[in-house]
Amino acid sequence: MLELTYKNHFKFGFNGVPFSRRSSAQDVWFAEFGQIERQPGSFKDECIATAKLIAERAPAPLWLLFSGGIDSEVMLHSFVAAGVPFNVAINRFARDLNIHDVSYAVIACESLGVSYKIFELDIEDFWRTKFLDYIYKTDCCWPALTSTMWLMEQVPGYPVLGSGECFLEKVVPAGYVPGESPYDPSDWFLRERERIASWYRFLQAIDKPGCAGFYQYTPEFILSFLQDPLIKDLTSSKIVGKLTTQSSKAKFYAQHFDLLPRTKYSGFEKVNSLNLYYQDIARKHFPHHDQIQKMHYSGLVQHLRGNLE
Amino acid sequence: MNLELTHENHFKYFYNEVPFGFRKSAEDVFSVSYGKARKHLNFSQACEEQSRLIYSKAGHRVGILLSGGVDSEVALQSFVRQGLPVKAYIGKMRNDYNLHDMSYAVIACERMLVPYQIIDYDFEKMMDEQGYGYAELSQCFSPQLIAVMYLMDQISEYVVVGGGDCILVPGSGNEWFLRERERVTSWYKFLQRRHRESCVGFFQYTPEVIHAYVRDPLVQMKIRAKSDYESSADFKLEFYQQYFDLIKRKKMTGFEKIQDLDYRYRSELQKIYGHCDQEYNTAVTKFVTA
Repeated sequence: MLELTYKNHFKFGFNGVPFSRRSSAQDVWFAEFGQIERQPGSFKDECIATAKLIAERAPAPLWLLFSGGIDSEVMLHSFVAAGVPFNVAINRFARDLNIHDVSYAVIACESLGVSYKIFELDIEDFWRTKFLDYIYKTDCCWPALTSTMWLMEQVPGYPVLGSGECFLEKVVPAGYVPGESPYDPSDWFLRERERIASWYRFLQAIDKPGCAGFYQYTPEFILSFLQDPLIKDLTSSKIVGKLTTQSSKAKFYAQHFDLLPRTKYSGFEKVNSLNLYYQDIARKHFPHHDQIQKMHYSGLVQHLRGNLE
Repeated sequence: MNLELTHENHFKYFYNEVPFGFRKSAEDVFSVSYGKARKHLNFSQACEEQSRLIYSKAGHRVGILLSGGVDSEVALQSFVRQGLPVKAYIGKMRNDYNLHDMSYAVIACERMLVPYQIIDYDFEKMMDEQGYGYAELSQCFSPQLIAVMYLMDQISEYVVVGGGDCILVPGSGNEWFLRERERVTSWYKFLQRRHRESCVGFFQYTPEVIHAYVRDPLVQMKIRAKSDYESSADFKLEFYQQYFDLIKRKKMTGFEKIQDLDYRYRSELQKIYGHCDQEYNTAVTKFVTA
């Protein structure tokens, strides 16, 4: 069994069986985290500690897969601050289809004095000819994830993805209209999506050690995010209007790291119609493979803390 | 002179006092003159005002050549701030030689929601096949300047290049000078040969923008303070950041990865056009007291 997160604390699968695959539409997706073994530091402390831990435990040279997005930029900063050796892989689509993201990735690397390697991929041809192989290996219903799988395979070492960041959302009553309905305190939940675990399933399928979720590598790292003052304010509904952590992500990270200002992109904007076309195909092959598990914020914090006070 | 190379051709370059000529011999004397500013504007106002002039001159079809450097980005922002629709063009060298610079240009366009087109080219092939032709046309020995001419030829619109940036250099005593290098006029010579109007010197398009730069309080403070600046290029980013929202970046030429190639072509071209590199300096006090 590969170590997908630290001591495989993060478990996922179906019907309570860790690391199992879906075999029917009735299977129930689940995800659970381990418990902390020490008190976590700040989010930034844990970014650096996690980078060091991954470097320590990886059986091969590290390759950070840098999409140019903000999550992977924070990951890059973490490894730089950790002072451990690593390589950077940037996936560039033919015909400059993701040039925006590549540009951010290049500038971030150059600003930090980090060297990088560009891996070229003809995304249109890839989806046309290899897409089905990847989704069948991983029960993946989301084509945008498959190019990252391809890159994980190309790098000659231990791939690390800036993924697994906590996505929290607020419960709102039916008929809630943002900006109009009253913004009352309510519960917040962490959302873990079945389709994102495709990256873990890919590593398992090709039997390649790697870290497909930097931000969930340890329970301490997750708890440091959940206990951050900004997140506490969000989940106490003190920041009026916020319904998820998504729109606060840039502000959250900027507390800890000096990042490039950017527009939010998925990287697939220039191939959007093709992306949608392949999403339809993927959903036809895997119609039931996108369940979401929700974990109550306070319950999760308590669980992560375990008996360690 | 039928072409308008700067506003009302206020900026003139001379050989032996003949405006807009071409060098005929190594003994020819290069000089320049600038028009008089008719109003006092700050740098941002001057950039914006001249963007409107350029836009009107261009018949509303402006293509901005973005190098990824701060000069061309300031030129772009000057148009965008006024809601003047422009298209950007970004040169991309084969083998990713200028990937770093190109990336800044792309990000600038994305941030400002400006449509852009990437022009792929092979620098070495271009120089081998056309470089000497451009050099002859414009009396230019610099491969970097030739690359811009090549890119301009790929663009059908009225092109704006972020050139003509004021470089102040210290002289003896406390005097500073606005330096004008003959080599940069090769772009103007190129336009003349092509019978093409474009703005290759955005930062000298009007007298007002030059005066605004030279009189700027930060520039005045820097040149008056006892400092080790070799030229005002050393504080260019700081200057621009007073008025424009720019991502901090290292000063790059875009040719760092092909220095050997640049040197090879430059050495050859210098044998033919190396004498086309005089400088003409104008005392800063002339602008400040004007």
